[in-house]
Amino acid sequence: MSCRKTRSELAAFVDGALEGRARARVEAHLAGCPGCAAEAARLRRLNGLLGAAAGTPAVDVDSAWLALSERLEAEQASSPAHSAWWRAWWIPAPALAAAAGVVAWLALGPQVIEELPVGADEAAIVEHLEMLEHLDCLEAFATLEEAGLLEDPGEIERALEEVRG
Amino acid sequence: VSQPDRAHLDPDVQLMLRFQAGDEAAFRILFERHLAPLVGFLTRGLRSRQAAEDVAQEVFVRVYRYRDRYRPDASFRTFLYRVARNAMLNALRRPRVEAGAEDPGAILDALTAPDDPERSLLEDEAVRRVTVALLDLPERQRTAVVLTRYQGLAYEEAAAVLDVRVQALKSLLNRARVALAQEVEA
Repeated sequence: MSCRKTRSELAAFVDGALEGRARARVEAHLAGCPGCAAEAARLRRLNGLLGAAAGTPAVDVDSAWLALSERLEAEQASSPAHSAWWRAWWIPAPALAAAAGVVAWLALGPQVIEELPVGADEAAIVEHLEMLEHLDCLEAFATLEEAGLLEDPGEIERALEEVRG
Repeated sequence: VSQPDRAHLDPDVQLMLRFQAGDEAAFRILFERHLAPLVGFLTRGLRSRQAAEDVAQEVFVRVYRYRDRYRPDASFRTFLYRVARNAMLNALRRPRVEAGAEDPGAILDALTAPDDPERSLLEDEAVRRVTVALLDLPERQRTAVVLTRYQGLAYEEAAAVLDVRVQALKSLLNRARVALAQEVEA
């Protein structure tokens, strides 16, 4: 096993995340390589320092629960018991922009993805991955428009322009 | 661990399945078990105890709201910290949260209770430096370290939270460790 390969596994090794043959291979290398053995010792010391700061904050769980309960009750009170059918398809604006990016990628080809401002909408895309299950509906923007979900139909085009940069 | 084994062995999974079946008391138990560690995770990510508590509430609102999307083929902690990381990234994009970032000393104080014996350890210069350096790491590296060292997630779980393969998680951890070691030894 090379030094380079060993170093790539060293954090996992000192964390105890390697088992069986993978662990044995690293151990065998360390036994015959002072440089990698010193690096392993360095990482162990670092783990010790990190472990010494492993505090968990004191939290008033009862107060936090009360605040959460009140918020959940308020949300339930503000949403009708029999939600309108279109609520199931309601999409927050950031998600809509992210969806537009996905549609643009599908329409224009994978090369476009390299031009997307990934950092900007990454969270929205990750958070609303479930909407990809309904991509066929998202592509049929006319349906959304007819349902009155798009207050401004130009929003989609602007979102597309934005992700295209 | 196979799906039936995980569902059988993990008490959090059992609680989440009970909650999905309508048992709201199970949700409260999950809240009580995970709130403090979650606030710790978010405090390190948002650099603000107050913002961490606000976002922690948002995380549990989402767990409540999206409970039907949980599947026991992932651990509850993977589900919880995926939701938490997304909420954290959203919060970091709000100028108010960014402006409310506290200095490292206040963050370190916020991570321990006043009578916690670990508080004295934070006085140790090397511990303090590595903890501050951790806060300054790029988000993915910092989250990888925090999930595996402080939240107790297995590599597979942390990789799932970050939506990367285990090998990519190892790479993030290696880069983080090199940066932290350099900071401590500087």
